[in-house]
Amino acid sequence: MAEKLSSIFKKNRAEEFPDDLWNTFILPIEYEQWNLLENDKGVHIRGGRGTGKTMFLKYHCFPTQLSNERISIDENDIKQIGIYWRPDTHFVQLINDKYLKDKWLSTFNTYVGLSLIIKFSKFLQKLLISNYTNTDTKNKLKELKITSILKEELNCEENTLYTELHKHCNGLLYKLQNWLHSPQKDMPLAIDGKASLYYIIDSIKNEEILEGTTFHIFIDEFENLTNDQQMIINGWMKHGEKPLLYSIAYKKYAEISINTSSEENTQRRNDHRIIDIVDDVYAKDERSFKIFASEIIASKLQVFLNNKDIIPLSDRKQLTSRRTEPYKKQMLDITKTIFPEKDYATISSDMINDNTIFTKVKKNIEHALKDKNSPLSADDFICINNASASLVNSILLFRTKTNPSKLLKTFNQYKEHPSSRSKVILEYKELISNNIVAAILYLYTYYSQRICPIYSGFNRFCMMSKNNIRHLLELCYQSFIELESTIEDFKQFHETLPIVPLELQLKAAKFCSKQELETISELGPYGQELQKIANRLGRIFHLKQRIKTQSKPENIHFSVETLALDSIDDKIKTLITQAKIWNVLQEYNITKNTPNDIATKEYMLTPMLAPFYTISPRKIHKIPFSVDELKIIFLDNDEKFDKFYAKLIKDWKVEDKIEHIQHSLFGDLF
Amino acid sequence: MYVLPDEWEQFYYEMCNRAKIYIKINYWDITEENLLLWLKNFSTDHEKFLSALLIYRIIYRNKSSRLSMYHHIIEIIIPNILSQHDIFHIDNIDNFHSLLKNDPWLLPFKFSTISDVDNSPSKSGPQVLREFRREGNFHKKLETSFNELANLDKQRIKAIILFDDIMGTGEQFKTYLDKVSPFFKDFLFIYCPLVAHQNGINNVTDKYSNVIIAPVEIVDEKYSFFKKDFLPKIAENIDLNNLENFYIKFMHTNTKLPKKDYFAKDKQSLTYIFNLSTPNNTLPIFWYEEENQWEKFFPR
Amino acid sequence: MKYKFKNIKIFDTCSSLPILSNTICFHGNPLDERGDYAISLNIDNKLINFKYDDENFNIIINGETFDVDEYENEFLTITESSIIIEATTLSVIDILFILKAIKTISSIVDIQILYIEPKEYNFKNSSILEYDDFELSSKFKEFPPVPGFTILTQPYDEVDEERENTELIAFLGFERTRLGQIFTSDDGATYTKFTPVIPLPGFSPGWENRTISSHLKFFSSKYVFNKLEYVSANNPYHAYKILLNFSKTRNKFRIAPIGTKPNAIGCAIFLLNNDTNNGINSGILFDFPTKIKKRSNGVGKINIYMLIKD
Repeated sequence: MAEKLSSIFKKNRAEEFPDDLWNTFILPIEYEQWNLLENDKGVHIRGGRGTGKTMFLKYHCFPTQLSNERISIDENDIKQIGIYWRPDTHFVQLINDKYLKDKWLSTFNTYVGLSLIIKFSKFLQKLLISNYTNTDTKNKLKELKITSILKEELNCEENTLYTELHKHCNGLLYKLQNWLHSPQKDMPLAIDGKASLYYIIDSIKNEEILEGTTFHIFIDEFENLTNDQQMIINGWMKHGEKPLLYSIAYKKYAEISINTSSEENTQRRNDHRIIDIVDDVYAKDERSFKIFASEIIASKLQVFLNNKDIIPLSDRKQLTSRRTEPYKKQMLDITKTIFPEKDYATISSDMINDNTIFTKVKKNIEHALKDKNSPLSADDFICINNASASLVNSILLFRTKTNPSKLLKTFNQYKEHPSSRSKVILEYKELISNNIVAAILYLYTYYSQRICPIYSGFNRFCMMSKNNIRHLLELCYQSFIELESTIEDFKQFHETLPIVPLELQLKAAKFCSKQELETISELGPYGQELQKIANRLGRIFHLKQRIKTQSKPENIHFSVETLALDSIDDKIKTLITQAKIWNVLQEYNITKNTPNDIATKEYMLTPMLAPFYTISPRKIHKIPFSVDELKIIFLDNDEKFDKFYAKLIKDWKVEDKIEHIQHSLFGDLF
Repeated sequence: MYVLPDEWEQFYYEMCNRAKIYIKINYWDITEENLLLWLKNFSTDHEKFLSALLIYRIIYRNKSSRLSMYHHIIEIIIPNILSQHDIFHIDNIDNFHSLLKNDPWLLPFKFSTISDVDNSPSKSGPQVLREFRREGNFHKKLETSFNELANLDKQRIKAIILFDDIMGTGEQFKTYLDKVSPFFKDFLFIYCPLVAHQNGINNVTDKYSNVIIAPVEIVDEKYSFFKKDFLPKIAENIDLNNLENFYIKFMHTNTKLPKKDYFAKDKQSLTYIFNLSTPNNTLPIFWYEEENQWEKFFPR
Repeated sequence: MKYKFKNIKIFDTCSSLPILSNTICFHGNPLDERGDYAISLNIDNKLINFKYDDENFNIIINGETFDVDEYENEFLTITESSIIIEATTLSVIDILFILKAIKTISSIVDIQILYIEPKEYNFKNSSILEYDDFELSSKFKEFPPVPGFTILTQPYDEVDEERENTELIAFLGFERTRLGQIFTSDDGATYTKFTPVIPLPGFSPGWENRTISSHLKFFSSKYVFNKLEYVSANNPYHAYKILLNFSKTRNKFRIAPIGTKPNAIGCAIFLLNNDTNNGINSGILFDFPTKIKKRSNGVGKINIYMLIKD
C-alpha cells in the first residue's frame, strides 16, 4: 500500500527518529570539517529549534556508529566513540542549593555520574551485539565483571558485568529520585561523576579492551541546567582530555555560563571551539542551505519514487561527488521543478491581466494624478506588455518627488527602447526592480482572500525558512497535503516527480505562516508575550505595506540604537533574548560605516510570518524605533498600543480603516 | 439570502478539517465517508457556509462522555438529593459505589426509566440505564420498571431514580408522571436526564409534588442554532432572520419534511447529538436521510 | 492513611452554605471577585495565608518562610479536628502541600474544600489580537519541579529492550499554550504516550468543544496521542478515579493538572494517596501561572468537597 507523500515529510523532528541514524542521516556536504569525533578538546555545539542539532549529535554516537546496518566495524571505527546524554531538564532543576543546601553538588554529581555510567554500560552492551570484528574483545567483554572498588562504590552484587551495570544503576537513580522527596535523610549513595566514569574507562582499558579509544560525551540542552550546574560541567570540559572529553550542546543565543565554579566571578573568554549547526555546518550561505535542503527533499522522494538514482547521502565516501557543481545543480533543479516559482515579471503580468487588480491600479493612478493636478490620463501609465513598470508607476506617482510628465516620458522611452543603456532608462529599470515587490504586496493588501503569489517557489520557501530546515520541511509537508487533497489517484505520483501548483504552494505557505504564529505562544515561558509582540510587529509592518508611496518599502525588520538598548528595561532585554532563542526575531549587529554613524542593532521578524501579514520575506528597509516605541510594542497593554498604532496610521497617511488581515477565526465567541 | 462573510471559505475548510479530526480521534462516532457524503449535500457557497456553521455548533455526546455524566449523577447529584430529603446519607463516595455493587438491599431507592409506561418507540432510556449499569457495575436488583412499582417495599424504598438521555419538552416525562401519580405518596421521583431544555423543566416544575428534576446539563433558548450567543465570530454580522429563511428554503428544496418540523420539536433548534440517536429537539438537518437524495449525517 | 471523598456538593446560591465555622481556613491571595467572595464566606474562621514558592523551593505561611522539609511542623499546633481549604485562591500545588502536612496530623479528621466556579469566561482574551493588562509573568522556568512530587525520566533508549515508558496524562482547560509549552520544552524526548482528559460535562454545555478544538493539533501521532478521556469539570472524585485506573497499567507517568481546579484537586489526592510505596511512580507537571488576568467574571456555583481520612 503506497505511503502518502505527505507522511514521508511528516517526521521532521530529531526525536521522531530513532537513535540509530546510520543510513538515514544526511551528511552535510562539508562534513569532514565538522566531524565531532575529530576534536581533541570539548566543543560547543549551537543550534536552535528545528536546526537538526540533536540529529547531528546523535549521528556521532554509538547507537549510530555501532548500528547493525553497518556490516563490518573494525578497530579504526571505534577509535572515537560518542555518547549522547540529554539530562531530564525538568527533574534536574530540583538539584539546587535552595532545596538541597550543600547537598546539591554531591546530588548533581551522582545524578550525572550514574546517568553517564548507564550510557557507558549500554555502549559496551551494544558493542557486543554489533558487527565489530574483534571477537576476542567481545568474548572478554561478555564475561567481564566490574572491579571490587566499583562494586563497593555502587553497592552492586557480586559478579555484576559491565554490560549489565546499567540495570543496577537505573535502580540507583530511582533511589535517588525517591530520596529527593525527603532529602533530610541520608543520601542513598554519593559518587564523583567525572571520576567514576573515568575510572570505569580506565578499568576497561586495563583489560586491554578499547585501549586506543577516546570517548566524547555530548551533553545536550545545556541551557536547561541551572547556572551552578553549568559551571560544574564547564569545569569537566575545561579539564577534559583524552580518553574522556566533554562537549555541550545548546540553543543559539541561550544565555549559558562559560565559567567554571572556581572562576565564578571572572570574565572568562570561551576558548572552546563553537560549532554552529546552521552557520557553519549546513548553511554557511543561502545557496548551501538550498542545496542541502534539496538533497533532503530528493532523498525523501527517492523513498517515495522507488528511484535509486540519488547518491547515498549517508555515505562519507560520496561526499566528494556531492561537491561537484553538476550534482549541486541537479539537486536544485529537482526542487525547482517540484516547487515552481513565478518570477516577479510574470506575477505582475498576471495582475495587470486581472480585471479587479487592473481596475484598482488604474484608480490609484487616477487618484495620484488628481492629487498632483495633472491633466494626464491614467491609461498612459499602464501598459499590458510592461506590467511591472505599470505597477511600479502606480506607486511612484504618489511620491512627492515624482513629476507625472517626466515619468510618462521616461515610461514611453522605456516602452520603446527597453534595452537602452541611457542613464534615464537604467535608473528607471532600477526603480522598477527595487519597487516591484513592494508594488505587488501593496496591491495584494487590498485582497485578504487572495494570497500574494510571491510566497511560492522553492527559493522563496527557503527565504521564508531562513535556513531553518524544520520550517522548510513543514512547508513541503503542507504543500504535499494540499496536492494530495486535489488528486484522486495517488498512483501517478510513483512514476514522476510531483509538481505542486502555485496556488497550492501559496495555500501551504499561508497555512504554515498562521500555524507558526499560533505556535509562538508555546515557545518557552514567555511564549504568550512573544506572540503578542510578533503580532504587533506584523501589524506594523503590514501597515507600512499599505502606504501608497511605498518609499523605503519591504519592511520586516526594525532597528534600535545599541547604546539605548544597553540601558533598556530588563524585561525587554529578556524578551529580546527569548525572541532570539526561539527564532521569532533575528538579530543583526550593524557595523558603523563612519565614526559619525550610530551603532544600531537590527531585528528581523521571522519571515515565516510574512504570508500571514502580507509583508515581504526579504530584509530590505528597516523601521527605526525609539526606546519608548519599543517599550510600547513589547510591554504596554492593548490600549496604549492601539493608540500608538493609530498614530502610525496618521503619520504614514494610510487611508483605509479596515484591517485586512484574516483574523475573524481567532477569538471565537464560544 | 444571508450575507456571506468574506472569509467564509477558510472557515468552511477549517470546519471540515475539524470534523475529520473529531472522527479520527473517535470523538465523533461516524466515519469520514459519512461526513464527506453529508457535505456533498451542500453545493452553493451559502449552503456550504451553513454546513460549516452547523458543524461548529454541534454538541456531541459519545458513549465515554455519557459515562462521565453517569459519574456526575452517581457521585454528586444523587447523594445530594437523597441527603437533602433525608432519605439516605452516604458514608463516603467509595462506599456508595460499593453498596451499589454489592449491597443493593441496603439502599432505599431503585433505578428506572420513563419509557416503559406506554409502547412508545423511544428506547433511549433503557439504553442509558444499560450503559450505566455496566459502567457503575451496580447490582441488577437496583433496577425496576413501571410495572413493578406497585410491588416495591414502600417501607424500605423511598425514591425512584430515573435515567434518560434528554428531556426536551417534558411531554414524555409528564406522561410518565401521570401514570405514576398513584405512587407520589410513596416515592420521591428523581429524574436525571443527561440533558434537559429549560422549557421542559419549566413545563414540569411546580406542577407535581414529590418530583425532582436534576439534569446533568441544562440548555435553553441560547442553544438554538438560530440564536447569536454561540455562533462564531465570523458570523457576527449575519442577519439571523435571513439565515432562518435561507434554511427554510434549503430544507424545502432538499427534503420531504413538513415545514413544521424544520426547527425541531418545540422549535428548540438544538445542535445536541448523541452517538446512537439524535433527539427530536435537534435540527432535522442532522439526521435526515433520503435514498439517492440526501445523505445523512448522524443516526436518528 | 489515605484521603477519601466523603461527598461533593454543588450549590447555585450562596444562602445557607454548610461551611464550617470556628475553624481554620487556608487560603491564598484573591485575584478576582470570586476569590474575594470565597474569603468573605470565611470571616468567622481563622485565616491562614499559605503559599508554595516555586522559585525558592519553600513555603510561606502567613508571611513567614519555611523550608519544604520543615513547614509541616507548623501544622502540629493545630487543635481543630476539621479544617477548610479555600481552593479558589490557592493553586493545586498549595493544596497539595497543605494536604500533605495534614496527612500526618491524626487529630484532623475532616477537611472541607471550598471552590467557587467562574460564572462566565471572557473568551475574547484567548484571541491573539486582544490582550488585557498583564504583568510579565515572573516564572522561574517553565514547569519547575515540585519537591516530593517530581519523578526522574529517561528518554527512550534503543539499546536494550527495557523501555523506560513515561506517559503524560493532562487534564485540559481552554488555554492550549500550556500543553504546548510542555511539548515544546520536551520536544519529543520523554513521553511515549499522551492522554488528554477533557472536562465533559463542562461548567456549561458545549464548553468542552472549546477545549477539544483548541487542542486539536496535539491529538495526533506527532504528539503520541493515545485517546480522549472525559471527566466532569467539577468532580474531583472522578478525576481521582481516572488516575487510579490509569495507574493500574502504567509504570511511570506525569500528571499535568492544567484544566479545572476541581480536576486538579483530584490529581492532588491521587498523588498523596499513591506513591512508590504502593508501586506507583508518578509526578506532577505544573506551570504556576502568575498572570493577573481577569479572565473570569462573576461568582458561579459554589462547590464544597468533604474529605475524610481512612
